[in-house]
Amino acid sequence: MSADRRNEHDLDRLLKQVLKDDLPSETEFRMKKRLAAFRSAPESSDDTKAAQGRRWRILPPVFAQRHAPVGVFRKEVLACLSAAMLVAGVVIHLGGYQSLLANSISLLKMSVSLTEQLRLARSMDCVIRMPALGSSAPRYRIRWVRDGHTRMDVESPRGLERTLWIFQGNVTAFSYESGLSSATPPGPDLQEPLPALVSPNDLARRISETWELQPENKRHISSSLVFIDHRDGATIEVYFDKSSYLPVSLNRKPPKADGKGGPGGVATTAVFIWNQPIEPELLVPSLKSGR
Amino acid sequence: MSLDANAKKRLLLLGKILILLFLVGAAHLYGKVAVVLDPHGLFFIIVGGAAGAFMTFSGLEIMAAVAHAAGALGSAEDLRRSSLFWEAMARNFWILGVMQSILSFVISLRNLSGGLPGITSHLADSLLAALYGMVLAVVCYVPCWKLERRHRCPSPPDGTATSVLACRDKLRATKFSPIVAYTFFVAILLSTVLQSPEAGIGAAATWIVYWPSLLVVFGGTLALMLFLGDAARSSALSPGFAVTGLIGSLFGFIQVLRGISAGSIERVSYALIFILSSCFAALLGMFLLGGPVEDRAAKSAGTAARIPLSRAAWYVFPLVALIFLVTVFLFIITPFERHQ
Repeated sequence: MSADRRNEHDLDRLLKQVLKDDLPSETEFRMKKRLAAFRSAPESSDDTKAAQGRRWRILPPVFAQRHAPVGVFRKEVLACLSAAMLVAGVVIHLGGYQSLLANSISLLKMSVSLTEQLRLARSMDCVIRMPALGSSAPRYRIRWVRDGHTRMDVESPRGLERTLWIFQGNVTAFSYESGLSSATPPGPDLQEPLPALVSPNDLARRISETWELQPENKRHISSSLVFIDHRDGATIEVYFDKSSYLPVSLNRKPPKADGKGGPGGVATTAVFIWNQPIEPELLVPSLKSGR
Repeated sequence: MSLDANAKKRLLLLGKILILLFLVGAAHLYGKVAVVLDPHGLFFIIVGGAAGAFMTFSGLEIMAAVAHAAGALGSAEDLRRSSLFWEAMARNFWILGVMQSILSFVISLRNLSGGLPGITSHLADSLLAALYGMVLAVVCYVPCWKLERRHRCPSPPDGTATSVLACRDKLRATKFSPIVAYTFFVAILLSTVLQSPEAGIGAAATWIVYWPSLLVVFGGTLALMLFLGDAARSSALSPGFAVTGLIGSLFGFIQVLRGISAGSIERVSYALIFILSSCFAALLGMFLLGGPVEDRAAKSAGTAARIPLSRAAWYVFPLVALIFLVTVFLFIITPFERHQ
């Protein structure tokens, strides 16, 4: 046993002497010189590009090779940047970023919704005043039901003057002063803006075809739409109920008399009540009194 | 035999010219040329497409590609490069056509005149640009297909080849070419943006550009490239933009439905512009970065380096964006009903 141990020690000693890890000094010096020369040798252009490409790994090789010398952006910076961009985009969008384009789309959608709700209305009760004409101006009350019957009462400060029944384009008028009724074509009693308010369908047609919706430069959308009537340049403001998209009131302003543009004072104002029951006998012209 | 071939070629050319004249004459007689005419859209697509070509290819390469398309002979490498050029042109025209459609529709929303008929007419006018883009893409694909076929069976070296390889050193010296092309495209884009009734570039940009979606699309693409890491190749950029554009659009559609259920027109409107802006940003990214980067890689590679995913991004995503544009229009004109 001890003889075996002695043999192993001898073998170890022999191996350490033969396989020494330190080289002869001259050999070591030459080797180090070769290594230093290899390290300091300029790389070929292809190697340089590849090395630069490795530092710029997130981009495609062609792009990386072209722009790698910039080298200031590292992967970590770009990761933070991309995360920040994503988060900022979502947060800004959900946080109520204001856009005029979105407001414009909102106005269009409101106009379309208003028109559609007008076409679906069952009844309308509308009172029209003309404050610009002073206290002597007549007051109009228009009542309409879905089957197409319209009744228009014309009131002056003295009381009820006339009643007009309109059905399928035929107008029957009754004068309370003379007590006479007559079938008349739509005439002086139907001056603007009354034709637009005879029925919701007429109003809807004006909104979608004749009046021009005006963009708002406000960042926040209110519950009103502004139109221009190009025939006479009047400005029409329609205020509507945001829960039903039916008009609550309408103001018509003629252009300023000085011709400088812009709306003047309110010439006509209309207030609406929708979908309330209306007594059918009020809408039938055969009841001569109309009361 | 060569005389017969020449006579056949001439007859074929004459036939093509006659067909074109017949089509133009028919359109003129029909009297509706103005209906399919959008000069500014056509200008944007053609000039923008040319700028897109210069982002990757030099003037000499483009001339060689035109010569090859006209029948000039060339080596396999030259034909391959020319084929790449024509495919890039087809892609650029198609992407720009859809981009111009979105841009034109967005600008038209500022002018609310005419009500529903007006906005419908605006959409029809906007879609003309996509039509031009598609037609021009098909026109450019014809030489691409032909050159690809010839590239597989190249002509003998003693042909009348227009060598692009010989000019390569000279081409490399003209480093300014892509920069000029990018600058030129930005100028064209700004001129289109300035068609908006808003005064000044700042106001017009505020009107048209919706920053949140731009941040999401470009940030998302950057994140995707980072995730891909070493695997990220030039061909991953276009699909990256397409994917983030789709994600942005889907996010927008979810918000539209939520806005409808909550009865909020404002939320629906913001979601709609998020969809449009996401599509536009993704198309812009593909045009400015994805396409040129892949073209350069394909040019430097010895083989055709296109992958199906890139091609799908270039040709399918604009089509999807076009469908989204029409869907957005339908959402706009659909009346909103609140729960009463």
